[in-house]
Amino acid sequence: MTLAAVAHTSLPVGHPRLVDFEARAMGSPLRLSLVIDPARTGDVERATEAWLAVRTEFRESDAAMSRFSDTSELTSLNRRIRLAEPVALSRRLRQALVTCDRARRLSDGRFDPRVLLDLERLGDRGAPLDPWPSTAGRKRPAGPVLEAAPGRRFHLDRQVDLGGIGKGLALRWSADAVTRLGVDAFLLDAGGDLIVHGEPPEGGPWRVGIEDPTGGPEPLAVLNAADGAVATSSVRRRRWTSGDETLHHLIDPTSGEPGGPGLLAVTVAGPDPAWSEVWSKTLFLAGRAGVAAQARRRGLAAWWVTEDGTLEMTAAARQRTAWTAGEGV
Amino acid sequence: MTEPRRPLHVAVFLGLSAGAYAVSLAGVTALQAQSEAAVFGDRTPTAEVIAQISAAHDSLEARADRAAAAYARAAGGYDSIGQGLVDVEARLAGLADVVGSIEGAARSLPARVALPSVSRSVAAVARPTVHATTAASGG
Repeated sequence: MTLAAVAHTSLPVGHPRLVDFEARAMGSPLRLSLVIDPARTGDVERATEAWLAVRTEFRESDAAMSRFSDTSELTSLNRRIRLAEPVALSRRLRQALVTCDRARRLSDGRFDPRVLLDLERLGDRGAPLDPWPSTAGRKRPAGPVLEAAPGRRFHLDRQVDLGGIGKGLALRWSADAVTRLGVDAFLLDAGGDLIVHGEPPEGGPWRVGIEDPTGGPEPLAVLNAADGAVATSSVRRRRWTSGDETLHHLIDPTSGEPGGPGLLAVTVAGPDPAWSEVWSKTLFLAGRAGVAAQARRRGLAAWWVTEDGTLEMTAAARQRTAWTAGEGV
Repeated sequence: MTEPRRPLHVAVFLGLSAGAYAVSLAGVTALQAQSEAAVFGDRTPTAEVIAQISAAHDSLEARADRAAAAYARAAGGYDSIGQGLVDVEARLAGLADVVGSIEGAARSLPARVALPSVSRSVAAVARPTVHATTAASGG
């Protein structure tokens, strides 16, 4: 239901309802679903302001962190790294890189954004760097992602990709902006990574389906989400073939090759969208053999789908699961 | 008239006799003291040995007292352990009785049990309506 449709609805005035705003941002569909009460003064105007705030946050995040945009700050940074000069960073890009560095430390190096050259080498092209750096003979990155230099500048030693965590941070910043406007309840969905606040119009938690990564039309499970985020790392979409090999975009930074053997997707629910993205990717790269131990050791609510299509989950995830395909009809 | 003659020679004689006696007594006394010193010197090593034997005897007696005390303590400990062993044996006997009764009950069970037939009914769980789907973002 769009905002225009709200004015023509036959529902009784004073009854809370959901309105949706939709667009595309950062290469994905973007949807903001807000709970408004048309009878309450300012709700409709507040919804419009919230959508504008979300669009602004995503536009500026894209300008800072997109590797596909030829004019983004990240593309410019990746082109300058070969000069080995310290660079000044915008607030968004600096926060993203600092978060990445913390994620690298907490994940024992399993999460590392310095895989851009590997993605390009494998065929997942972004904006050209011109001249294109070679990965031949270079050691895998091991130290900090960025180091402080004099004059509020930073030094980076390798080109970075902020695809997943960039979208998580855009969701975080957008949700903060919407909350600051006084919106009580909303769901913000950026291509499958999402954040919710408050309750839907009918009450209870927001219900989020987990996509079937094998391509089935029905979700494999439905989970309850309340005041938190859900992120999924999956090979369903960004997957391509090279010769006889099927490749995907989830690169293991320790090898430079597609990781996550035995897994098709990992979903993590947590308080923050950026960190849910970090852990979903980290767990995916642990592969089928290590995903359960990693998730339980970190106390995560995590669901994963194995290569044979089986859905498995942690105990914390089971508590948030409202329905699974195995027990449904 | 003549003066009576004084007997001086008697007095001299008595004096000489007394002197001779004193000299002889002193000699005898000196000889006796020398003899006793020699005897004392001969007996000193024997006294030392006797003192050492006495000290060894005291030490041996003290060790014997300690050994007796240790033995008394060991005997007390053995008595307490012995009581514990008696208790354990009593419990084992009780456990054996329980096992025996279970074995008896198990033997009395039938080899097969006919279960009543049940009608199978599975409640269909419909998928809840979802507000969104988490998925591969593609971005």
